[in-house]
Amino acid sequence: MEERFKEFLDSQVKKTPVKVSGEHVAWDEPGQPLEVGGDGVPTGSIDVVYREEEPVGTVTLSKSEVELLRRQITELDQKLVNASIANKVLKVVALTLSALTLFLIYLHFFTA
Amino acid sequence: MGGYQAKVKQLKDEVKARFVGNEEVLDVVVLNQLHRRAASLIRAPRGVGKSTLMLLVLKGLCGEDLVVVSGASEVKRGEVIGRLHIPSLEKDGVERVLWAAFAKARGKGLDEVNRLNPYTTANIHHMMQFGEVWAYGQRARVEDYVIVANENPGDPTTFAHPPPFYDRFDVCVFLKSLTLSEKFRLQTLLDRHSGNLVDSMPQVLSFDELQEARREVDEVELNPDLAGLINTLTRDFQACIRNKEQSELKPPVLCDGCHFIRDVCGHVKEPPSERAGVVLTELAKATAWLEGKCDVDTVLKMALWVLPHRMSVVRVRNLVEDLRELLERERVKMMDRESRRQWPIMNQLLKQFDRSLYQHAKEIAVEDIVFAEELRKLEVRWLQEGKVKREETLEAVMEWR
Repeated sequence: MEERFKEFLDSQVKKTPVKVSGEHVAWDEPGQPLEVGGDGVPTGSIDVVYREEEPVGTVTLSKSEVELLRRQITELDQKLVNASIANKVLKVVALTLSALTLFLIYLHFFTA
Repeated sequence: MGGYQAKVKQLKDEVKARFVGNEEVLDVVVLNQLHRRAASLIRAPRGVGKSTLMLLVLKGLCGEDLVVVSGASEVKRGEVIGRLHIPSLEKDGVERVLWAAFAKARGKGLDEVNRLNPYTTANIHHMMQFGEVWAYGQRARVEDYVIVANENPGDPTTFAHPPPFYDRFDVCVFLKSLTLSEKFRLQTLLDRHSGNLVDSMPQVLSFDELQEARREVDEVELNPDLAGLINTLTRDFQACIRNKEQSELKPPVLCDGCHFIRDVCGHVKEPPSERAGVVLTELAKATAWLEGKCDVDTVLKMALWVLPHRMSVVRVRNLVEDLRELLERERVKMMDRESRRQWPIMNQLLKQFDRSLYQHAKEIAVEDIVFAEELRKLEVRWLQEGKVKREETLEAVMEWR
């Protein structure tokens, strides 16, 4: 690997160190110490949301994780609005087709 | 502070004492003189002072050793590069070239550069690219120099010079017209200098001193953090999951349906060249040398003047303001990268493969194309080593080809 790229990565490690423990990646946010679970592993992880893990103690999310969640919630909201519009349109179509069917049945059986 | 730093600051003060407003621009133009073969481009509407600024900088550094070629007048090749010495040809049949004063002068001014004819431009481009000039089959090396050029892009007689020519200019600054109070200050300055601001400009540094300062700047070691910032910033403006550099389609059409459409890359039509990173590095080193420090804000501010002439953006309204907005987004992006701890995670993955860390890195890659590129390189290695399966790689997940 290019030496200068390695130096850059090393400088980032010094600036913002991470702790890797088993499946968890954790770090300390300045001024916001993470809760530590019973097994000694910090619990502040977005995995709680995405992997449906049981939250232990306080869950601390970083700014980017909050942004990610917020964006996904906004997108889901938008999808919900689109789905409810589609739902209304389909209801109208279904009602119209039902009325049309009944009308055709009426014409067929009662006006002959 | 060393002697040369004091002199460079004095140069800045002397220019500022004769040039009103646009302070941010003046700082960058002076900083840009602190590396070999510095070339600065000033863009502004007519009458805003671009020629005055050009002459002030050239005089401050080169004194009388300066030649200005103007696109507004008829410029022949012999005046810019060289001409044949007719007596030698007639008497001895020897083709001797008399090199033009412009090629020999330390200070080179290009006034109204967009009105230069394409042949003159091609010769100057060659000089800036290879540090030499050619005429009549003969070559002459061009020593270290200072080039300051100016143009009014709105000029109706504009020649469309090729992008590689503009790319040779390290920075491109834009001048604004003066505010009310600045107009009063200009009147005071004109009165003080009897209406001629340039004539009163002293030569602050000899060219030897400037070269010595340039050598000192060259020896400055940029810290890895800043080097990383500059390279990441440059890559952010270049990267494209759909390879826009080689695509016939360009953004915004190319970006239709792309996952990264809202990212900075989606706003860049033609990406900047690698020279953007090189110039930013030079400027960061010059700042560290002159001011004793250089931080993220300074680099982002300087990037505003390094990028505008070597890239184009989608739906441009006001190039400088559009770029300012993109750079502000970059600042947030850099903070996000830090808060995601993505580079320490990359560092860990480079040392050894870890599946859960890899999953985490893939989530980050979905947010950051530059990170994704580096992760893809690792995936190629892991694929060969049988540590990951093709269907779980970013290439498969993001349909990245």
